[in-house]
Amino acid sequence: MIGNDIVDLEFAGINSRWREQRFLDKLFSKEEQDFILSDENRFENIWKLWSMKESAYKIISRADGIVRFNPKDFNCVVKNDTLGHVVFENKSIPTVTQTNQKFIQTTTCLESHWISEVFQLLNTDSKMQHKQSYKHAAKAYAQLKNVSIEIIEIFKNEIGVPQFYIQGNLQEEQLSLTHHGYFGAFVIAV
Amino acid sequence: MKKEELIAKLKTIVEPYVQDEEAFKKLSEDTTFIGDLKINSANLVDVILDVEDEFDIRIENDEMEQMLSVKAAMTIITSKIDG
Repeated sequence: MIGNDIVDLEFAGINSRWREQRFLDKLFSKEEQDFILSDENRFENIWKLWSMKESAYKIISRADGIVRFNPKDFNCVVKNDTLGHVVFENKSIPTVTQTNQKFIQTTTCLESHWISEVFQLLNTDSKMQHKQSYKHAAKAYAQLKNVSIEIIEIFKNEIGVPQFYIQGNLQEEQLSLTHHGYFGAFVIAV
Repeated sequence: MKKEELIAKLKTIVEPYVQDEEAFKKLSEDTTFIGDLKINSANLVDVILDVEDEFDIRIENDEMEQMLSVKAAMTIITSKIDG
């Protein structure tokens, strides 16, 4: 099982009430808030924990197909700048986070091998972004399988999870896609 | 508050976060925030804070978890402002 999430940091600052205590209270536990306020990087810390929660949420919702908005049921434990895990019920889900000035991206994978890539999007229209994201993922998958990109298709299943098809046949490698603002990312479990 | 008035207020609140304009134009009680309007889940909490301020109510976490559609939001808001 895999999941990922990306936050465009410029976008995250727009229209968001992240500075407010009420915002923190709705999303984060006391321990998580202590982490967020532990240094001067409040903004980055918020979105780091958010991307961890969201990527772990994707693993859980892929398993049962239920749409939820229960961020406080996902508890983040930060080990260092990159590694951490998210605890949900009795599961501990390992996370790998990449942070830079433009974006924060978290991948979570219960399998040991995966490939992931971050890419820039040309505009913020959601339909165009889907198209572009699919193209990036299909290109990487074609290289992985050593086949032509022409025969690869990506369709969402009935619960909205994207899946690879080669000449109409469902493939076993799992895919997760994310986009926010001008950034997108994919992860493929291999 | 009348249903139409409530929907109009909700429309104003969600508009800045909507990423699917077509779905927004057709907004009805059955519209979902994430699935239909493509509101980024990171912005859902902003929507909820805006709802709290607009209607002068407080939404608990277990209620927030239910607020995934226009209909669900209307039910929760109505129960608070009438209560």
